[in-house]
Amino acid sequence: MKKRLVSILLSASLIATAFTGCSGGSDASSTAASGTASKASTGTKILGAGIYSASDNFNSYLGKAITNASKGIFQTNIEDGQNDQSTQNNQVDTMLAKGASAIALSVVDVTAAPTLIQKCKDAGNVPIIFFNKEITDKSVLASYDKVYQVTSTGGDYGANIEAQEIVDYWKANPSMDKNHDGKLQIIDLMGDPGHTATKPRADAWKDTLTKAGVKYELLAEDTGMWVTATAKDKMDAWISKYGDSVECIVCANDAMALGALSSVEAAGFNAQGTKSSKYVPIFGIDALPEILSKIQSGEIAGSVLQDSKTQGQVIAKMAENLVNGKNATDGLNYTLEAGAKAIRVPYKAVTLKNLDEAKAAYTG
Amino acid sequence: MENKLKKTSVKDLLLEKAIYVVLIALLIVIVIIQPRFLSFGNFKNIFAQSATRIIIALAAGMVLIVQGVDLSTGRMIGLAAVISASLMQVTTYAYRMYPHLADLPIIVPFLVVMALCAILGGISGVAVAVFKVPPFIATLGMSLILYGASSIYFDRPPYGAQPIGGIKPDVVKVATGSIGIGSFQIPYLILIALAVCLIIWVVWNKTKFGKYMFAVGGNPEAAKVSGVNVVSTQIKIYALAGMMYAFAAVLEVARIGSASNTTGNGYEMDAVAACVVGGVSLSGGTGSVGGIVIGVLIFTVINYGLAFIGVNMYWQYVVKGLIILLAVMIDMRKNMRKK
Amino acid sequence: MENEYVLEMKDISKTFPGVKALDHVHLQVKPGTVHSLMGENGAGKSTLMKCLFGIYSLDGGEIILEGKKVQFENPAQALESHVSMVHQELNQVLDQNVMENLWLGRYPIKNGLIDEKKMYADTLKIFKDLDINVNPKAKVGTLPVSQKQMIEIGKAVSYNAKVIVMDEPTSSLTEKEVEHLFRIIRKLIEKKTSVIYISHKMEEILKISDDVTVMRDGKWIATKPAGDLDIDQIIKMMVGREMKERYPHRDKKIGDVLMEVKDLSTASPAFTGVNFELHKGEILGIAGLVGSRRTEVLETLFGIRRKGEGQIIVEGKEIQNRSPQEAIANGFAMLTEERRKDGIFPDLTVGFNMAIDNLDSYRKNGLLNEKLMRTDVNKMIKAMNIKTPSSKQKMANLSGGNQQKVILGRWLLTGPDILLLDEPTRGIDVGAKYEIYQLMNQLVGEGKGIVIVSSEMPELFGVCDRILVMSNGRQSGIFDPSEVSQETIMQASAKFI
Repeated sequence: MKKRLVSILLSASLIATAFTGCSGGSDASSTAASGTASKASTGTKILGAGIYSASDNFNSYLGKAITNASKGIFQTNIEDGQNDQSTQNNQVDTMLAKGASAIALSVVDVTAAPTLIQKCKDAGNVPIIFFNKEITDKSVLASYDKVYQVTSTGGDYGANIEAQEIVDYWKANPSMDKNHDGKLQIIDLMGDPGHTATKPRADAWKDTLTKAGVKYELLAEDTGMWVTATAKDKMDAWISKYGDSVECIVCANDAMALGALSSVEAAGFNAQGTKSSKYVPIFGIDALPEILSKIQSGEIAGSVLQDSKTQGQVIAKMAENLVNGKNATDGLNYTLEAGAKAIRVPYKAVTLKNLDEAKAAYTG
Repeated sequence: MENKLKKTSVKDLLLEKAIYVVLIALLIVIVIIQPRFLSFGNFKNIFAQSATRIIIALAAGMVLIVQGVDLSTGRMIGLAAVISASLMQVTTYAYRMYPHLADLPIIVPFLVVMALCAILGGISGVAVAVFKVPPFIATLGMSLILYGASSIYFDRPPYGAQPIGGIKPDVVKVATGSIGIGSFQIPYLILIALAVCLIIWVVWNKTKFGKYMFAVGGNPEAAKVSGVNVVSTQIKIYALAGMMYAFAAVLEVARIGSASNTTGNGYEMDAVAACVVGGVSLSGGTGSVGGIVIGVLIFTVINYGLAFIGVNMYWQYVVKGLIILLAVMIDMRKNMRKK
Repeated sequence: MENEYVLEMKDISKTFPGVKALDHVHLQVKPGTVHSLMGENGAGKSTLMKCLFGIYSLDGGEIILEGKKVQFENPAQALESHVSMVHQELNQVLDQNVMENLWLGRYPIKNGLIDEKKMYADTLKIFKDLDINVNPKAKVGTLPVSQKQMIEIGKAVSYNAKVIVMDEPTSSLTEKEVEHLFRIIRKLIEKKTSVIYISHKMEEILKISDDVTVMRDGKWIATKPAGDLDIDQIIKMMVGREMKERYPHRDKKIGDVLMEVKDLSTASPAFTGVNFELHKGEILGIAGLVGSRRTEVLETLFGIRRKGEGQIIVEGKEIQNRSPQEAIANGFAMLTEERRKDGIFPDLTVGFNMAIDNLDSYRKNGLLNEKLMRTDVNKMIKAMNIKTPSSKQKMANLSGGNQQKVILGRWLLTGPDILLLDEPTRGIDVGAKYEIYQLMNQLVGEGKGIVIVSSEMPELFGVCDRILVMSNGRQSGIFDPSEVSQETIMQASAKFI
């Protein structure tokens, strides 16, 4: 609903409502994925897999991880839901019609889960695994014995870990409190207001800070739409307005952290890392390769790694187990969270201290 | 009597320059709410943020002037951004797309993507001019192809689907650097945009090509009878637009320091909106460089100013929409008022 | 009580910045009469009508309709009060059928749906009453101009119009169609409807009108019964000076053969077998009925249409003219028939409109030299007596005659040898016509050749050295106007039908 509202407002702001649909996207990246998959796969069983949008980099990265992990087990092809539930429903119909043994899906709209589950039941009790976006309605999960979830830890989408990094930084660097008022002056760049992770991330870091006894003052909070350019444009205005009184920048993802960084660097901050004459710590989530090098140089203070590689492996293994009638968690080092029927792959804090661990996620 | 005549002419002038009035009114309102807005730094930021958008809007405006519309703007920028970014990574960067690529001079990525996008734009132009495909459809098709192509290019081993970062500092400097004395610094971006405006102004107003563009847009039948090569003019317009998108895309990469397949998404509508607010007719034939620049500035001022004041994000959309409607309504009045 | 006048416009004044467009103008129309409104372009006829229909507001004066003072806000209100206009440029939805256009905006509704049957019957009745023979279900876009116009008249009648304004209704009609129109007008008058008739064609006016009002330079000059007037008197009142002849005198100096056209035809056979020679200093007319493919001959010569068989030889050399560019390079110029559709760039300036074909000669180092361009344009504006405040005026704001002169000027700047003129004086007033004839004389005096297509027989006889007649896509003869009568030409026009 929220998403609908935003898109309506957006369209209005762009005068021609009709045009917006056209900039949606295509499924070209899934074609690319299919190329790799069909070459590599030897298995005959099909894992029908779909992501909600190829425009979300992490989401398509997850898709790629699933493809890689399925090699030798499943034949798979990642479909792009193009951020449209009806498109995704059609894609699931096609997967099932093609005879998929299992479905793995990052849903566009979590409320569509019952419909999708029904489709799997109708197709002969095909197992379905939801990933990335979490189905929170327990009754939906209880309605089918072959539905499972693979997500990251907790409903906070890594924001607690990000906040913990801020708390640690605050304790280790008293100079962070530039005006010595005992409070952190924070700017928050949130995600697209229509995205499920946006609100939890915005709420969770505040919670964690409060619980840890760190007082803060919110100078500005607005959406950067997950996008670097938008985040930079917003930050330009704020850094001009607040200048050196900004003590910390919290970004709901790394793409926006990069935008914020490029903006503050233009205003004379952070360019020489922590040694810069003016410095403001910036935190993000996703641990993009680009961010890792910025953490190394000190321009960015920390990020959070959502372990797509492991998630992909867990999804593939779980699907294999379910298809073969085994326990969902057989051969996996994770336990199932009962009500949510979910395996949670933990987020990892990424700072200068454990940079190598994060880098490892991008090799192999 | 004479007094009355004078009065109406002031009103006429206000209507004629409606978009300037809107821009100034907007600035005044923002300054009243937040006096600190009135600073050199803020205006510098607004101009710098507008710089690439102006180049994009001018290109999209040309297509509008020849009775077209370009829906492939954003995706063309996306493609040019990922390709140019992959050619401009620091050689020591750990996640290079081409780990063994030599350190290329900055001009190379510019030329590569400008040539590529000129061809791609030219293809849209051929579809429109030669095969008479409606521009809406031709460029919609092109935009899908481009998004697919840029995603394929972007999402591949070894590090696929990650923003292409590690852009060379000398490239970044093009967008973030500035020239001046003391605190009076003019960003290069603004100077580049100014230069582009000047060149485009000359092309539109002082060259045969420019005059032909307005002729084709104003009345293609008449242009044809007048011996204007309508087909080649249209193709050249789309190709030139593609070239300008590519140029803007490289600047955009330099400005934000990375590129992904979503870079540029939705820019076509921003560009069209700015053009229309700036007085370019959707039915073609009219438009000016100055008008388009003001159109872009109005949008940047709204974005920047509302963020500066700290207006709630949902309200920002409402305000933005209202201002567009208001600006265009006032602008339209000058065409329909009773004489 | 019967009013003497159905419509009175008294003391109408209207001022635009810098121009007094209407200066105490009167127009009094009696019920059931045809009242012609005459004047050169720019005399204020259109402005007066725009004031009547509320498109412009009045600065002074009043409008009285059937004894009541009225002031319409827009044409729709006027229509409600039974005052209607048949436009010169017809505004119709071409993709809809006749009756849908006729009842647009007030479709009869039955059970929430459009009552097609009633609409059809009503349309048919109106058409029958007026002796109009058009299928109400035909798509408007497929109909000839004359029938489109009849639909407009039918529409006016359907609003029970008391006053119908017809602006240049015959400008694109053949003589036969004009006859039909006049029959319809007489039917209207029988039904006590009044017609305000705006035209430049003197013969027609005298034939159909009861009263004539003449305007000049925004002023009312006279209103007289048509029976008391002759053409020369009207012209004198219109132009305010004696005009001995409608066609200026020319010293004929016919030179060598300039262009030879041999057995010309179009690729898709619109016409075949056109043969003629055009000499230097000659004006060759092309006559023919609408549909006889006169225009197509010019378009083929100019490369707008693909040439089929045949040769075009200019000064002994065969040329191709595959495109207008090529034709221009070969020294051709063409004035097209539909000025509004493919002649002008309405939203651009007069200067732009005039210079657009000749940009090559203003280029200096790849850029256009504004000064050179302006000098040329201003010279031409002056030489051709084009009425415009400046070269920066928007083309759409000029009168038809002046627009035509601008286009002619555009071509003259390219220095052509052969001018192809398609209906160059259509919809232009007498004064401007005379000036265009003078210009043509001057051009042939310089040794150029002119081919002119016209529907006005007197014009062809007045200006041409020879007249080529087209009939149904074939050439039916070339005549010397000093040796044959108009009847001969008419007979030749019908030869292959």
